[in-house]
Amino acid sequence: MPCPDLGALRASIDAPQGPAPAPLHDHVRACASCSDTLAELQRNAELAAPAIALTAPAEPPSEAAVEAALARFEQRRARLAAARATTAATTTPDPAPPVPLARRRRRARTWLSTRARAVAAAMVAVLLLTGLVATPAGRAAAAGFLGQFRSQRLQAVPVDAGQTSQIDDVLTGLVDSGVFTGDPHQVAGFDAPEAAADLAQAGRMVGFAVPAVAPSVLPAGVDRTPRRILVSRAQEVRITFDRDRALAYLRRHGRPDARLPERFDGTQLVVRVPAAVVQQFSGRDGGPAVLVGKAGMLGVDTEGGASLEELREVVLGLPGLPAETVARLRSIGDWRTTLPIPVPTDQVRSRPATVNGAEGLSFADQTGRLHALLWQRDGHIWGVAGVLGADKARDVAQSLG
Amino acid sequence: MEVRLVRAVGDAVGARTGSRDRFVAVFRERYRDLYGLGYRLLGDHGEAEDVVQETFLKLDGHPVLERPDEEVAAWLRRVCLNTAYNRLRGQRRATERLDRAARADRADDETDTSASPLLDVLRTEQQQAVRRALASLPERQRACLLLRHAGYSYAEIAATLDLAVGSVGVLLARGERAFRDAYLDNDDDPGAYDALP
Repeated sequence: MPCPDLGALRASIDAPQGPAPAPLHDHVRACASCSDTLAELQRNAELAAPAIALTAPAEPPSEAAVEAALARFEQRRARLAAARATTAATTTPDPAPPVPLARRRRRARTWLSTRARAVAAAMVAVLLLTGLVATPAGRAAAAGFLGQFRSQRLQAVPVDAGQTSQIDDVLTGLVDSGVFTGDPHQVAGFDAPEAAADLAQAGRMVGFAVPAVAPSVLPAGVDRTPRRILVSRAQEVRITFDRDRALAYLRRHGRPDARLPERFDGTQLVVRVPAAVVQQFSGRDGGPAVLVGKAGMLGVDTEGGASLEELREVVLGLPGLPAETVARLRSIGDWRTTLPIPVPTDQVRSRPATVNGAEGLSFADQTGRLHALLWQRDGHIWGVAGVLGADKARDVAQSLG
Repeated sequence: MEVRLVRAVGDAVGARTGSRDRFVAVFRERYRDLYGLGYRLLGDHGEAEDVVQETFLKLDGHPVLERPDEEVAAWLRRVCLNTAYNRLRGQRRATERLDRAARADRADDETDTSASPLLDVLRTEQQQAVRRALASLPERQRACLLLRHAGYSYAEIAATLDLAVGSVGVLLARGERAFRDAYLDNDDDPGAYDALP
């Protein structure tokens, strides 16, 4: 068989029946040139696929959105028909006014209700201790990036999309059914970090020194000084556990014989969320390109009849949680000082790393363009993330001392 | 005059009553796919929706509507892509549009209560980098990449771009190579996926 053309080689990668047709396959195995070309095509395709996937809309239009679009279309069509008819009937041009189509709208996202989100925020203690910050509710509770910098040790907990969805369903059910309740006003500030004028002011606001990033370690094309300095102040959040509602919840979900001691009722989790500072460095187009964060430590305790360990057991035993995730969390030896970092396996890969001798975790997204490092040192959790290479991320991290 | 107007409207609408059900069925069947294509090219919900509406306006009363489903689908994709390209070639330069989309996305990110603000910010940056790289490709290569990575088969791509099926692989291979060069050229230190720090 002569060397196949470029198109045939590329098509062989996508062959729906699996591997390439036998003659082509045999040829490629015997032909170094074709083998090299095929390998390059494979690499190019593997780079393009996740990158181009980023351009897709976050969610496809719902059935209701399609019907609304059809209604708008019919309205527009009728006006155009009327305009044509008017022209035909009167021979006087009378174009219909342009029908305004839907202007840009905010991306439709399905989030928890305000109440649910607020209460979920109060669940941060249980979530952190059980690794459920993998969920949207948990992440909201932890105020995303700012709130996840805590604990004394870091451990990656891989979660796939299905597991994340399962966990989210359970959490939403717990919040909506009132098993955990809290004061929404307490957590209102979670989503609104304040801007500081400079690092000195940021340091005064959080109570610890915030080091400057050495300009020489930042990637080319990134501002030498932070465009924004965001501060999240320390705060305390309380969440109350309702035993009766928990029992009702368990019975509704296939645990008719569930038992919980009466003393659990009314137990409050007291979560001391640490202060955090994030320096945001902008790229050529003004958008954030590199983020450098530092946060204090998380403190969690209970007040009431149930201990922290007992409440942790209640949560880990909830029906509907993915067994694999629960097993991973249970396998964490020192769960009181270990922060499970959820790693969505369909988006991110992680591995252990060290920064100036301190243990941490490194992350990369599917495209290989986003890298991040998290590490713990001297009673603080540190992070570097952005559109930068792995080596650059490490350089920035190590420059922080 | 009113009578004539009503009659004329009635004629305009009624003449195609027989194909109305067919049109509505096609609209419902194809809207999501076309919206996805428009969004991938334009990066803007409102503009993507406009393009799809314009596409269906062109289908309304067009004889292709009587053709088999797959031919209608290919025709719609072709018109949708061309309409979107026309927008990109319009009065504003594509780069200005990209910047506007970036600012709008960023404004969204700064005002919503996203559960993962870090990931959202970085993803927005990545989306813009990908769109810049795609914008540097010839239109047919760009369309081929978008269609293929949106899950369309080689036969569907060929029908959309009016190509022989055998030519799709070549276009795709060249497009992916050009995309790689443009995409990595945007980044002075892209790092490798496996080269974690």
